[in-house]
Amino acid sequence: MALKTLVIGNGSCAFDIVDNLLSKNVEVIIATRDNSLHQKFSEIMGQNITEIHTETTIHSCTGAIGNFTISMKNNNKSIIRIVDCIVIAEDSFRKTLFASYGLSPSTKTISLSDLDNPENYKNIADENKSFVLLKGLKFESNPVISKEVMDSSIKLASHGQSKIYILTKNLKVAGNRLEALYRKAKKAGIIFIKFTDSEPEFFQGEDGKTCIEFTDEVTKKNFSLTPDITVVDESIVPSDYLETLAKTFGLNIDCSGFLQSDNVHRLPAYTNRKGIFVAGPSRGISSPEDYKAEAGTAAIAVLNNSDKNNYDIKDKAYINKGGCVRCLTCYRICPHKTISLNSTLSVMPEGCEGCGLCTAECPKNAITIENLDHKFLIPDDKIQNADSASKPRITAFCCSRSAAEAYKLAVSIGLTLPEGLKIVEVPCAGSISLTHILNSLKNSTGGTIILTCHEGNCFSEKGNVFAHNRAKSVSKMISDAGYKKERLMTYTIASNMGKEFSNILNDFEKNIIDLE
Amino acid sequence: MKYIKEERIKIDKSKITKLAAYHDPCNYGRKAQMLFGHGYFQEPRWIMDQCAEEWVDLYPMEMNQTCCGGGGGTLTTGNDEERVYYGRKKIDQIKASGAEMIVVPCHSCHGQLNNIKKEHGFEELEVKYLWEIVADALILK
Amino acid sequence: MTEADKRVNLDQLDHDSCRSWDYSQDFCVTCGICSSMCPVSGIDDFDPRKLVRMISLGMENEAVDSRWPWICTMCGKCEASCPMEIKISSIVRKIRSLRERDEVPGILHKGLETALKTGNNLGLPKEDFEFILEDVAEEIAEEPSFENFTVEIDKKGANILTTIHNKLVNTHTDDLKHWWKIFHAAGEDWTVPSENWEGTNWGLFTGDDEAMKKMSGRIVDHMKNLGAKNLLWPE
Repeated sequence: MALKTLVIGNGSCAFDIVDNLLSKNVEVIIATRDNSLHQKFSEIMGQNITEIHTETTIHSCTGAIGNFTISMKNNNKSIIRIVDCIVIAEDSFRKTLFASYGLSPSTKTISLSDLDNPENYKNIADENKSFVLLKGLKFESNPVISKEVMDSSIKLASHGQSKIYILTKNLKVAGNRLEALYRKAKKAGIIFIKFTDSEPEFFQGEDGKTCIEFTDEVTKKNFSLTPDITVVDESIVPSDYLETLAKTFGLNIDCSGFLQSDNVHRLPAYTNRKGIFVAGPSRGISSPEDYKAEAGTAAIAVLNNSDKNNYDIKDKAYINKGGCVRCLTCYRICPHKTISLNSTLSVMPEGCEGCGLCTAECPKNAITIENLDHKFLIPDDKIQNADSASKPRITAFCCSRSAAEAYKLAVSIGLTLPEGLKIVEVPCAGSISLTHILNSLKNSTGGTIILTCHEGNCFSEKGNVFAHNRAKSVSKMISDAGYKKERLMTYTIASNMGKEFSNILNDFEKNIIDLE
Repeated sequence: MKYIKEERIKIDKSKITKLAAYHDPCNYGRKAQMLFGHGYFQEPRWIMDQCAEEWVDLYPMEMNQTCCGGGGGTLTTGNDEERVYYGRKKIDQIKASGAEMIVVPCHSCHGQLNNIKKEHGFEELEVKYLWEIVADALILK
Repeated sequence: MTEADKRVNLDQLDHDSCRSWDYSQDFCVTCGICSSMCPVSGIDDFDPRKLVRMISLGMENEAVDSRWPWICTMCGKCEASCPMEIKISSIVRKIRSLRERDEVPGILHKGLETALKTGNNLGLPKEDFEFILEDVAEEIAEEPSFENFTVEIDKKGANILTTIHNKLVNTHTDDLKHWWKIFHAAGEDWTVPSENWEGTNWGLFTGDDEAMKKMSGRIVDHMKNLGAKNLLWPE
């Protein structure tokens, strides 16, 4: 059976994804909020079984990879489809920045898109002599905007214009051939005026012309500029639709509102949900070439799920129906949005990553994860007595993605570790519950140490933060109870930090010995 | 250099008793490197090795050597106040090296250093041409 | 005068006026590394970055009229450190060359003119020059181990021809002795020209390429006329 994929998007990146998927015989359903690319999509339709829904928004989504049930709305008409994967590639918006400079658009003060518009370009370039392009003076602009500003200036220069000025804050030229472009612009005779400590002042006349006054920071001389045309830069912002989509699909967003959290595990096209991918202008700001590459990457990510026999349907976590009180804590906390809300709550195994965040947080201890029962993990008194080591017994909770790997590295390169060390490998530090920590403190003669991934680097988004917060609250509890809080420590570590692992553990052991 | 290598002249290192430091003139070092692709950094140092048991390099040196302040015709343009002021860094640099004698192979540097040492409180500094210390250390037949 | 009156309308400047100069000045990224390396930075508000910027904007006249190029020591640290490989010291020299010749500060241009006319920056006549050299030679001959020391002027076919810095026959005659002693100890066959012996080439400092060529040309002529094999030009 062919892989069925829903593509949400309206721009060229979405088009490229559809094109790529169709060429691999994927069955594609397209849902666009507008109908701007209808014609373009129609051209490639017909080769395969493909549906296109224009002016259609996503209403809800249930299920997991291989079995997403999507409800869409088209003018109050409801459309229900079941798909295996979902790709989101909604175009971003251009926001003009006239207001931030205190300017208003006119025939003499235009936006970057106005200048680049092929219909106007010839008239603008023919009829005017001097140009000022503003770039990132109020908000730092993305390299994509820097590139466009320089490209436009060079185009003007090649059109015969000799007075072209780019007013910019720090011009960052790392990556994407920007430095070569900068040299080209310099060669074309474009004058860059850089502002780091000061800002130019803008005055707009009644004819719409902008006059700019400033002090050149290098020569410390006062200048004014009255160009024929002032070009105001733009910023690129995520589509307002993304916020709705994030809520509908339970996706994390990054600090600028794009649909991929700032987390290295999500690169290149993944989201916090299995089977939902994001590309191009929904993922971040990049050049058109990069968007094209991202369309390919997203298509590959979809195709990796072609073989449905490979779907991981083994139960990694299950909810004990007798214990569950439907408080929805698990539904709220699951970083992969894989708790199904039917008559009884259940974990959808296809989407589950087995991180155990739900287990640790469930107030009724009603969720079980294989190998994560605290009874199995923590050495009890008997084991402890059998251990004749005179050194303090140390329990180290290690996230399997970072600290456990660092431990293996430390062992393999022969670094010294405390004799009484007991490693407890957990799928994610977020699965370490209060019970785990308290039991460990009760049963270890020495101390307990929790080693997590670095912040912002957790596969379960916030598992490490949960672990640190829990340790903090236990720390408070035990010190209130007169127990030395130095016996419980937390650290962040990465999988390649074997040496640091050894250092942290040895220092911890030394501190514990000093306490006794 | 050739004379010393071919033993046409012989040098007595013990004749140089003060601790010397070597200064790269801008024109022989840095600018020669930039214009002609070879800066004379190692050659004079080799001569220093032949003439003195012990001598020191200033820091920074070679391509980054501090300018003495006497170049570019500033000795003759009449801007003396400025010229003396530029030299402060050079004198500080020599002081920091602990040397009592500065060896230069350039007339401008020689003139400048001799001229400014008093203003910057280093009157006891001895300024010598590179060939002067060779001449001083000659073993005479 | 108010602040606004002093404002220069930037688009009235001719940014192309210096664009034919082949010193890459337009590539300046105004990073300021040159200014931090420059020994002259801060004096008279000068720093090399400003000068490069002014040239790039076409403010040629202001640069030529200012003292800046003349207080520069032409040490080249700016150029050696420039990440964009801008030939800053060449720019300084170029600006110096654009100054009206009689406005060149100090004795630089006068000395150069004298040298072009008389063969040396001092205008020292041939007889006086020969007298000084021989006087110094006699002084050397009085020292032990140098009993038979003489200076042979205008000797043909010598192995080394050496030029003289004007200050050595003016105020610092003792400093002539070092090289001569080395020549003597090495048994070198050497000579000094009696005319046009000036080794210092002030054309380098005033930016006068023509004069520089002429001065160097004279030394080349000496080499040819006297048939000397090597040149020692300790400047």
